[in-house]
Amino acid sequence: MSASEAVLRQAGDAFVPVRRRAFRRLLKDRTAVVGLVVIGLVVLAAGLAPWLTSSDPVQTNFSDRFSPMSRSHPMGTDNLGRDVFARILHGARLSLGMALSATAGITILGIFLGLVAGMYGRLAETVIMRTVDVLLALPTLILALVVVGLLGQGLRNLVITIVLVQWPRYARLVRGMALKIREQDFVEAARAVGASRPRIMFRHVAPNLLGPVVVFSTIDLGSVLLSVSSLSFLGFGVGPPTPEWGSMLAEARSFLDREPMLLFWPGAAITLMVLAFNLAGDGLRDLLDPRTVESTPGWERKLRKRRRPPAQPAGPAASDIEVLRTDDPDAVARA
Amino acid sequence: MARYLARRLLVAIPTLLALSFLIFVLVSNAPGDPAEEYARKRAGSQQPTPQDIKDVQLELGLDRPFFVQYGSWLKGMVTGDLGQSFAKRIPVYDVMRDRLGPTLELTFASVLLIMMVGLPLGVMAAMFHRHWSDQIFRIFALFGASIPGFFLAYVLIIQLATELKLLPVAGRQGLPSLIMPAIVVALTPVAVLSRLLRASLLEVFTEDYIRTAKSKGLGSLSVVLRHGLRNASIPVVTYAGTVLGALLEGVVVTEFIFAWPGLGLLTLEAISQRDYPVIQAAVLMSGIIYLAGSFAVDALYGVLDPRIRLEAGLERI
Repeated sequence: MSASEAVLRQAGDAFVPVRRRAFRRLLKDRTAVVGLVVIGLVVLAAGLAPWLTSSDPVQTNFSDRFSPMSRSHPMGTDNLGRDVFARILHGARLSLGMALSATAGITILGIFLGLVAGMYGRLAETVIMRTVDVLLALPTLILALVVVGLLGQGLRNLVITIVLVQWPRYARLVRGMALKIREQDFVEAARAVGASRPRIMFRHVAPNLLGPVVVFSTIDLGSVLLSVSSLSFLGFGVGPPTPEWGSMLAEARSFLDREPMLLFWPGAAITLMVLAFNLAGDGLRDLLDPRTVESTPGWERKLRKRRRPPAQPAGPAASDIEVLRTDDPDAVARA
Repeated sequence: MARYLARRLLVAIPTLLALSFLIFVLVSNAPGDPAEEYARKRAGSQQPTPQDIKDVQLELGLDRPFFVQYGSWLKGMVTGDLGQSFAKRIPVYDVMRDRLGPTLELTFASVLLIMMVGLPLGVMAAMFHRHWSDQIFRIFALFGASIPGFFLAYVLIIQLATELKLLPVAGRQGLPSLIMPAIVVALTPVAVLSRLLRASLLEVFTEDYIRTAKSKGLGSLSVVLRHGLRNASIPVVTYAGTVLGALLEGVVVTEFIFAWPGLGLLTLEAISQRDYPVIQAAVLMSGIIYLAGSFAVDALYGVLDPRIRLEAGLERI
């Protein structure tokens, strides 16, 4: 079991509600706030893309190829005279949109199959969990390559592929949590009054694991974005004219000598977003870790600190353990 | 321990069987017909006739019923016959053997880099806990884990290859061409490993035996290296196992960018050429490497920490 899953399991045990107080605590974490602000700004920019730039992201202009940065082209133009800034902004819609929909798909499928495995047991559990084992035995990028290579290129296929290869970790997590929640008194009570199994599953068990799982998937967004752009970079995403960060990078490869900045912009955009997701995810993880839960207000903590000599740490706090996603065996495979 | 490991090995067999079946189903049901593709390639500029396609099907054995195909493939796998590559018309075994060397080279170089940079960084970060420099390690690790390999690769290529002309842009010509791919592959593991080691060391530092070692008057560095490191190594070894597995399977994106002729690039090529036998063999090999890796890590636990006894059930830890 990986560290963050362990953290989540504990969180599941304690049923830590991720509510307003937690959100306020998140806002105190400076690095997390930086991440959230960057995400917010980029999402806003993506939404407002048509108003932020007057250039068309797919309009070619052969008299204006490889033009340098200027007022009318803040990031210059590419090999076909298209405005790079416009392509980056419009590309954010696609890249982030794909990452978001893939993450949503993974979460829904993972929760559903994990719940079924945890609640029904027997054959359903065996089939689902063996499939999980088999899928986890493969590096996701290679599996994704096979699936997307076979399904064929395209936006939708790319998202489907990522969902198909990434759900197992979620299913395993959800099943573990469901097994615990199943034993709680309120589930017993629901069963006693005659609630059906699907009703118990969706009305009583699911709501109790939703919070931690959604946080887990938020933490995962950065790595999903990386998978999306890697596959797209390798040529399994959208076709050439459509602006998308991974495919922009792939297109710019041919002009490495002539105009390296064409590679820089989409690469920097992906890096910035992954970094922002990781920063924000880091803060979210702290929220989930019961060891960092502190109900005392800030001023009181400060007072106490002043009065008492700093205590020996009982163990590393979550922020020490998990700056990074350490549970991701494919971090390398993606490299 | 031995019994536990033996059982683990036995359990791996059905997993591998299921894996092989899954791969076979996946590949066989893919849209697009490899026979048609090869017939077209062979016919050159002409359209292949239906008879041409049939001939190719017959030749590749694609005309047989699904389970017959699977059965003969599986038999081949068990007896060590990986089949013939559709695209290259030579045994898959030879194709893969040629690519194993470059992958091993890259793996070795990256592992060396990860150990030489990641371990000292982790130890330093743990020793400087609560010092301002700890923040620097943290930021480095965060960046290291966030920078996509392909971005770093191009930053390096632009700086070191096209601008300064220090290293070759791509390809595999001796040691210099190995440097950039190894850096790209090692960056994320270095970041993650150093963080893991730091966290693990900090936890170990609170143990009694560390206090004992300190009170004996040992210097802090030797306390860390002699008493801390081994006890902190379990999460590091776990992670190192997955990294090693991933590296041995071939790093697709890095090999693609640097035109490094390893197993990752082979998989990518096979997929775009619909070279079924090669895809199947590569994926199955990945699965075997993964299972072998997690097996090796489990076996190492007992060596590193004799308190761990893995006799109990087969639940994954």
